[in-house]
Amino acid sequence: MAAEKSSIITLQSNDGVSIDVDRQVAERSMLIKNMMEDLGDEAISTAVPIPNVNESVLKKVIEWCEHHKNDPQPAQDDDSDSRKKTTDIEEWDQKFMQVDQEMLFEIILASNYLDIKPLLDVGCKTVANMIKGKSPEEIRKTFNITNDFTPEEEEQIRRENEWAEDR
Amino acid sequence: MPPSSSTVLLNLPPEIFLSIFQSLLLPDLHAVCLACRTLRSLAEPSLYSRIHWTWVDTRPPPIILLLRSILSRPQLAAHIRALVLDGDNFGRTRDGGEPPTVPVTTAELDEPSAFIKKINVPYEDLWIQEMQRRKMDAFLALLLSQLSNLRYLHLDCNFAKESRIVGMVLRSALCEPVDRGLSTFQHLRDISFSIRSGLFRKDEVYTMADVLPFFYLSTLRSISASIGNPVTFAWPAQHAPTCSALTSLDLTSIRESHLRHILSCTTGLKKLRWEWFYREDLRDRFLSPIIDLDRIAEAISPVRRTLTELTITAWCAMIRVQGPLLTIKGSMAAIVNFESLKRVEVPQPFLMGFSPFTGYPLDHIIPRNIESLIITDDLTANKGNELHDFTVFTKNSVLARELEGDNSSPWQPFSFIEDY
Repeated sequence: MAAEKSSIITLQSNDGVSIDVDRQVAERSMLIKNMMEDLGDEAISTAVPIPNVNESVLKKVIEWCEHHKNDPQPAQDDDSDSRKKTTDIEEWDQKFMQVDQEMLFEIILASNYLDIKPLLDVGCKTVANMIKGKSPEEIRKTFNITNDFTPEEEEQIRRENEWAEDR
Repeated sequence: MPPSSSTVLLNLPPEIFLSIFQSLLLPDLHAVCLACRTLRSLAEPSLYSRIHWTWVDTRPPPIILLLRSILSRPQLAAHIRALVLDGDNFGRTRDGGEPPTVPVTTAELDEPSAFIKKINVPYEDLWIQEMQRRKMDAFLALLLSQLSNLRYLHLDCNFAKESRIVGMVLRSALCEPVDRGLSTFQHLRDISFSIRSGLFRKDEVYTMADVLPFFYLSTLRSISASIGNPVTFAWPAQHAPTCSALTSLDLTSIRESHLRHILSCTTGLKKLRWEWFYREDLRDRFLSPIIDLDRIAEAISPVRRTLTELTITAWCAMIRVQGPLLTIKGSMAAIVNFESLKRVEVPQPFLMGFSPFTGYPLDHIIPRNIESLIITDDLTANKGNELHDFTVFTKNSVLARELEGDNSSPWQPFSFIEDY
């Protein structure tokens, strides 16, 4: 066990389940990586609580990190305001994201909290793909949203954003 | 296990929506706005954040529809961070071609005209007239005047071809101490205004007055612009501006005598890219076929302490093919003392004359702390023959050896062709 000490860390979900993870895998999360750097080896001997994430979501997130453990770290200055119009998602990630909506949103929230930007991007692109090309009614249906506009309001919004429909 | 409360789309935090909306196109964002109130308030800023239009034919972008929306709900204008207007083909094939007009019904002009009257500028009649003539310039001026949160402005030639009203509005907004409710562009950081290699028509020479107001924005970081060469250089306000935040300048069309006036105000400039050009059909006092290196060095000298990168490109268009074309006067020797200058890219004649054997030895001309020198073949007669496309010397290669080593022999560029 002593030999593995430095490479395995224990994460604890908010429903009290401990999960052992390879340190390299866990450090796909910038939150955990920074925590490890700050606390050093001491942190490794105790379970790291992940208060915002339950067991099933945490396992799912770890599955993604496991698959992507050898990916290069994303560039830090990635917040350029150029719009990323592409919603291409690699095949493995697409399959990975074939989950019910609740799980999808939980993965997005967890990756946001754990600061796993590439996973967050995949999640957001998946949601964007669910919106693309749909009419307002189809969007409501997809996400179980109630239309709270009056017909007059709807007409007014259509008129207001008419420029965006052009060409 | 405690049951987790159900997570739905609308529970996601706003910053996540921003990422989701980033990969959606305008029609999708419009559809999202129509789904429900919450989604509308989340998606509207994304829908309006970046207006990107391309105008290359008789059908102009839907500027009149956008104006209708932002004039009736000013908060929409506040969402617009970037205005990118592309298209540079008008007048390229033949001269005299005016840009197409904006098709609008007379009724559609009522609201914008009434709005202009409320702004209360001395040229309101002219502005409204130009709008009645369906001039893009007049509509664009109104749009710009309302964009209080604009960060980035890119105006390509087709939109800037006629910029009289835009120029007037910019002068009112930026150079006059009267608050007329026009945007003061306090968040504008980067501008690219009608950047075009050389001039296409003689009347385009007079765009300078329309661009100069931008220099009064003390927060501006970069400007790319084509600026003409009017008979006299005059700042559009009582005093010259101080553009201390401006670090990057990319200017075409303007010649050295006017360039100096501008560089006198850019006290923090780091990167300068300037296009020297000559067109025989436009020849006048400022536009001469003389490459006056002394005056060019003098024009750049106001930024000698801060400038780190200098790029000069050059081109000329001649009618006659015979006889002497361009002549060179003086030298750029003054830039030797530009202490911060690390990277220089210039056409070969600007350093060495048209023949390497008549010009100055290189080590008398290039700045002391240079790290990278790129010599291009702009203006050279046998373009591509002797120096290939361009020749790059870095500190670690030939140049450094030349500088640190034996300085007694004049530098001969042709012996280093293999080092680019």
